Amino acid sequence: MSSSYERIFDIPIGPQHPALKEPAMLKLKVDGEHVVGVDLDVSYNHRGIEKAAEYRTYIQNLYLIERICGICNVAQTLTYCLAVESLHGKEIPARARFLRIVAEEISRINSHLLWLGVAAHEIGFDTFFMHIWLDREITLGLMEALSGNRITSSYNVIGGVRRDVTEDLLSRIRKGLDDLEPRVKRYREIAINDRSILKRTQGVGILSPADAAATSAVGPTLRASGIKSDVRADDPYSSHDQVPFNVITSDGCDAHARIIVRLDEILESIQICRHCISKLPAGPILQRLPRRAPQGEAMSRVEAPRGELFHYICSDGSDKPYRCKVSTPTLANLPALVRMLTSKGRYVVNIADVPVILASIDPCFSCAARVERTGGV
Amino acid sequence: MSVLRDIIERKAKRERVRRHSLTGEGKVEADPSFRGRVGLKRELCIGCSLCEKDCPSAAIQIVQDEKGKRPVFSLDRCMFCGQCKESCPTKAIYMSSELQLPVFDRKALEVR
Ligand code: SF4
Ligand code: SF4
Repeated sequence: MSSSYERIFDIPIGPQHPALKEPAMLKLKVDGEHVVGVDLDVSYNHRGIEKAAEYRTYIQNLYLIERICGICNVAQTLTYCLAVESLHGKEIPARARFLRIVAEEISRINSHLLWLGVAAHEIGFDTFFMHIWLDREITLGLMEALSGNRITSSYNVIGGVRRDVTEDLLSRIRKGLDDLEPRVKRYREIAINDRSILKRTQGVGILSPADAAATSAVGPTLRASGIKSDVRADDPYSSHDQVPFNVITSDGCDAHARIIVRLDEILESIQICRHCISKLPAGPILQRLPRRAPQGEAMSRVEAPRGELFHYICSDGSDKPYRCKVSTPTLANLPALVRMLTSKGRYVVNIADVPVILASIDPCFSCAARVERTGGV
Repeated sequence: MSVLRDIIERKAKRERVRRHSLTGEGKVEADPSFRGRVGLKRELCIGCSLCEKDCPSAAIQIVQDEKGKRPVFSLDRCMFCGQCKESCPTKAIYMSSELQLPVFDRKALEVR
């Protein structure tokens, strides 16, 4: 008999692998079927966006920053605009702030539905995936009507928003939300009762509240471990203090809890949208700001669908930023991912659970790939 | 088993993926608010070249014609962000909701 030490093998998953949608390298240490260690490398898709931003004007950067992440493009531009606006030291009109919330919440619903579909696909439940993505079309249609494009909305601009809404559009958004709400409630029912979902996700990828806090997890990953933290509530950046909403948490601490938290967040987002539409203040939607930003530094953070998104901009007084730094939620969630992959909950993590756990943090490695690897995570 | 109910409901409502084509019957139409092909109202343009300065993908070139300076848009570089429309001081640029731009010749994508 060999000792248990010699039975531990390395299994590389990635950087190109059918189970991964993006280039990432997971070097699993396995003992039989059980994952006992993991070495993670996500720096395969460094796109040099931060450096490129230094050569473009503030206006042109809006579209570059938007393309860091297709799904969270509203959150990315919002964070960037907030940073530039705070360089100028200007407040934007109230109507624009409310419209920004509407766009942000529609994109959050869109992102969570997309993620839910991907999670269903990773579980192996492709029928569920198809149904969810069919209903996701509603939010894409609303985004197109609101901003002029389904995905890259270019809705937030420095000093406000691009387009105003008409009464017609508002009733269309209301109707879209009314159509969506029963569907999401139905998906929640399925996610709670369906045996295949429960078997694949319950007790898998445990992240205890202590671990979540210790690894500085963010967003739904953190909230699914029972910690009440949301930038919208803790640091209201866009009139969120005037909108009543609950911060959704769950005590499940597993992959299933992350599904439920996101589904509940969709329902909460629908309520936020409805509130903003009914209480939309009148007035201008854009406060024009000069092309050159005053010298200084600015930081901003936003609750993106995946968690806290952070931007830092340093200005030397010209029309181009001197330095632009972006920290995406996926990056913050990677240490938590490593804990989940080696967790010993009700079960030890099996190799087959790895895609589910990976999907449960809603990873976006291409957004996170802005760091050079210097060793294990 | 529980999704079975949804499948049956959708079948009963005849909800399904529709077949789209590029032209003719079943042609995809974008929402009227869609940001599509860029166009120029020549009589409004004063040749200030602000649109060229702000275009993030260098899709605009300022050329000289009989009435003075004017922009030419290369739609193969354009990403339909709408910044040129926003920057234009005289509202000379508009965006149509035209969705399909397949051509064989690159020249056809130059809006002059
Ligand atoms: S829509 Fe955007 S990319 Fe296209 S020409 Fe105008 S500014 Fe340039
Ligand atoms: S910004 Fe408007 S007026 Fe100026 S060159 Fe462009 S199209 Fe003409």
